[in-house]
Amino acid sequence: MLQVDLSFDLQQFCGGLESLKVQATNIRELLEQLDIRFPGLGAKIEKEMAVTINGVIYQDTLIEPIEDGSEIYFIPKIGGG
Amino acid sequence: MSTNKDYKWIGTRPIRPDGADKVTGRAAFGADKNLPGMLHAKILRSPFAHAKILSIDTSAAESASGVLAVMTSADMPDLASEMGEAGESAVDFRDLSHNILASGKVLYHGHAVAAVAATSAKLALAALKLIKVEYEELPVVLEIEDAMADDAPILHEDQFTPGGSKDKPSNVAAKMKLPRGDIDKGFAEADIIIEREFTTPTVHQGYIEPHAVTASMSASGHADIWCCTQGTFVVRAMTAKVLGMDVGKIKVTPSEIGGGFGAKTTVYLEPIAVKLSEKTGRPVKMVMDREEVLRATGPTSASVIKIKLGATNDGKLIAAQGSLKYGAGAFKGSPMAPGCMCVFASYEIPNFLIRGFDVVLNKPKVAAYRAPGAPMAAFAMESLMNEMATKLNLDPIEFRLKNAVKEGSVAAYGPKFPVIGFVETLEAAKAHPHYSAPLGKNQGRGVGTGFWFNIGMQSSATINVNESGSVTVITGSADIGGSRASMALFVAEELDISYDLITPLVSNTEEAGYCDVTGGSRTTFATGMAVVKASKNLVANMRKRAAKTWGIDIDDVTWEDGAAIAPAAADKQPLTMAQIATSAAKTGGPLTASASLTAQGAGAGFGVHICDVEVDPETGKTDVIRYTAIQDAGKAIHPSYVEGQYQGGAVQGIGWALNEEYVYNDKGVLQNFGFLDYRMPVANDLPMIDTVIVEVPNPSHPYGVRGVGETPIVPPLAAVAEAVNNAAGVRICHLPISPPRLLAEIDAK
Repeated sequence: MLQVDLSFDLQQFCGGLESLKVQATNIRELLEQLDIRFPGLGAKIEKEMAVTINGVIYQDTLIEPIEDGSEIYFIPKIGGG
Repeated sequence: MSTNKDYKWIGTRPIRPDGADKVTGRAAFGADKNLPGMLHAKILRSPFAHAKILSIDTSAAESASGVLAVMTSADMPDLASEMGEAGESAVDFRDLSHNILASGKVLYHGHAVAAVAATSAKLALAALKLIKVEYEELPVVLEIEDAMADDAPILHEDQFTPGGSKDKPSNVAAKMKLPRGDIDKGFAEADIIIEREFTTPTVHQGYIEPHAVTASMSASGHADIWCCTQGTFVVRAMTAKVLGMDVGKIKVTPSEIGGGFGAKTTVYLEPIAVKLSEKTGRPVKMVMDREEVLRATGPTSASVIKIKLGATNDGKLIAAQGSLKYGAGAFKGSPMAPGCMCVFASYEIPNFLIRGFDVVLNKPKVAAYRAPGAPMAAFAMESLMNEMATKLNLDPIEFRLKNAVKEGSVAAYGPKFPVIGFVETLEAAKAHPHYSAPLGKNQGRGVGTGFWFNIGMQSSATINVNESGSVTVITGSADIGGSRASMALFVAEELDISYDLITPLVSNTEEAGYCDVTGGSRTTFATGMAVVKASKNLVANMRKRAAKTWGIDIDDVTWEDGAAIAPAAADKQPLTMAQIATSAAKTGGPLTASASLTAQGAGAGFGVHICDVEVDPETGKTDVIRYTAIQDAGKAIHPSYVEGQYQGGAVQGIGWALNEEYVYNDKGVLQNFGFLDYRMPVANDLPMIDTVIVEVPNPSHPYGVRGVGETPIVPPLAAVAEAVNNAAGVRICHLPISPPRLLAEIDAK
């Protein structure tokens, strides 16, 4: 199982839930599982956010594998100058 | 990862491949493109900072001598509001279109209203005067907190604050909230609390080369664009979207680029040049002048930042609260979110609350500028860190070490940090001779630190082997900081051949594989990863060719010194790249290798700057007399260009701290629209910027690279302000620390 912690802004889409457990082996499955529990959430994250897996930022990818027990957090996509 | 190896090429300092052309004037920049039959186009810009456009009459201009076409926003598709990916961040394509040519309203002084293409620039400028625009002036709002007031003039009647009133439009386009722990409890446990408000002005990136483009639309509807840009593919995507074209019908060729710093990741002129070329059937060239660049391209946000910081007597941060308000200019999209994510990112703070606000104003729409949003946030936070260290009677670097994030720390923006080098960077700064050097009368020293995420995104690379054994490496990543040299060094290291045998090219959108913009400190990291991957593919291919030539298994062939070797077959003489390439036709065809990827795992960058200043108490003038920039690069591929990034970022930050600001009158008209009045530091204003490269390898990169281009602009604002404080005894919370402002503070002391 993955430990998914939600930012304050995302908690508004999940009834105030601060964290949850999800079974997934890659980012695509993770977002699908979130969409099942909170319709629209996975799509919102895919469009607007980056996924951090154990602190490493993954942006614009669905295929990154996720090891069991990983800590997941979502942050706004990062740009730069 | 091979970061502990002794490299032959990585970490060396060869001359850049494009160096000779640039110092002899042969390099072609944006304005250097000329084509037969080319027209010149100029822009009519708004004389008002906020007004309704009641009518535009172009008839007189259209019939003027030498004029072949006039266009307004009516010549472009009326796009619906749609957020999309273009470049490195999301953009609303309707806003992009309306920024290129105003539709219905002008939202800042200098907003483009119409364009004229004529046989000469002089005739185009003359025809602009014949365009009659009827305006209805509207009240102007220039300051962030004025724009947030209930009775503020509204820029966009269809913009509502998320979570706010659905009936009353607002200039607050977005909000953000980052909480952790219990701030009331945290502040109650604090022994010392400091609270201050900081402001920073609108400042421009100040790139030397103004925006320039030449476009030619063929009869078959295929557009060629030549321009100076940080991203050819983003120019293609944005132009296609704004004009309703297929990206496959647009080819973008990059010129050399005379600076960008984030600002050349969007478009202003390109769609206009393409449309005018379509209307006239001739190539169209457009070149901005400096006044247009300052009035109408994207600077970075002004900010109003309030921070409250609580610490215990043992020097531990226990609570923090921040309000970060960023001006977006005429359309939503300030770097408020990264500002919020960066403001407390360098420290372990158990209780905090961050709130951010993205506010539209009657100023040009902001564009990216090196570590967007972070320098302002760090100015506020690092200034308070310095003040808190003083109150705690702690050395400022020691205070930071007590609270610094490290591997496993939970970043203020959510995730745990992987391997980072903040502590190592602080320790390098503390040990540097500069930090303990004596100071003279009216002199002071300050430190500041900075954090930036860095990014990966998409990159591609192709390597072709010539029959001589030399190679060409082709990418679509604009070279704005020496990346050609870095790409060549990666290839030299991987193929184990001389750097001099490698020609790195930056090619157009039809010949190079897709590359996202050169921004976010991503090119050496991400495009470098693609080059390394392509190099490994090429080596595997050349080992296979050698195996075929020798009739042995590929597993019995290794690659050393730029040649295939069969260690177990004494009768097989090494096959050099030239030999393999010469006989390539007989072993499978030309030698070429490509790789594409979405790079992940960009390592965060941390920097620490030490600044000494001398203040003239009679004039308020501040001179930087010594400056040292220390930063974790992960691994410096070409150390000279890493140092150049540290120096350039520091200089831009010093300018932001001491001199630079947009000065508007109450009508929203920019008063300082040239480099004489918009005062950036030049070489004789500053001492040599010393640098220290710390190397804590990024495990996600094959050579340990972290991006280095953005972090160095984050620390200077607070470092300079603290140095001034220690020299003159006045704490400056409002930038710039210009002589009149500092003198007033000294006199009021």
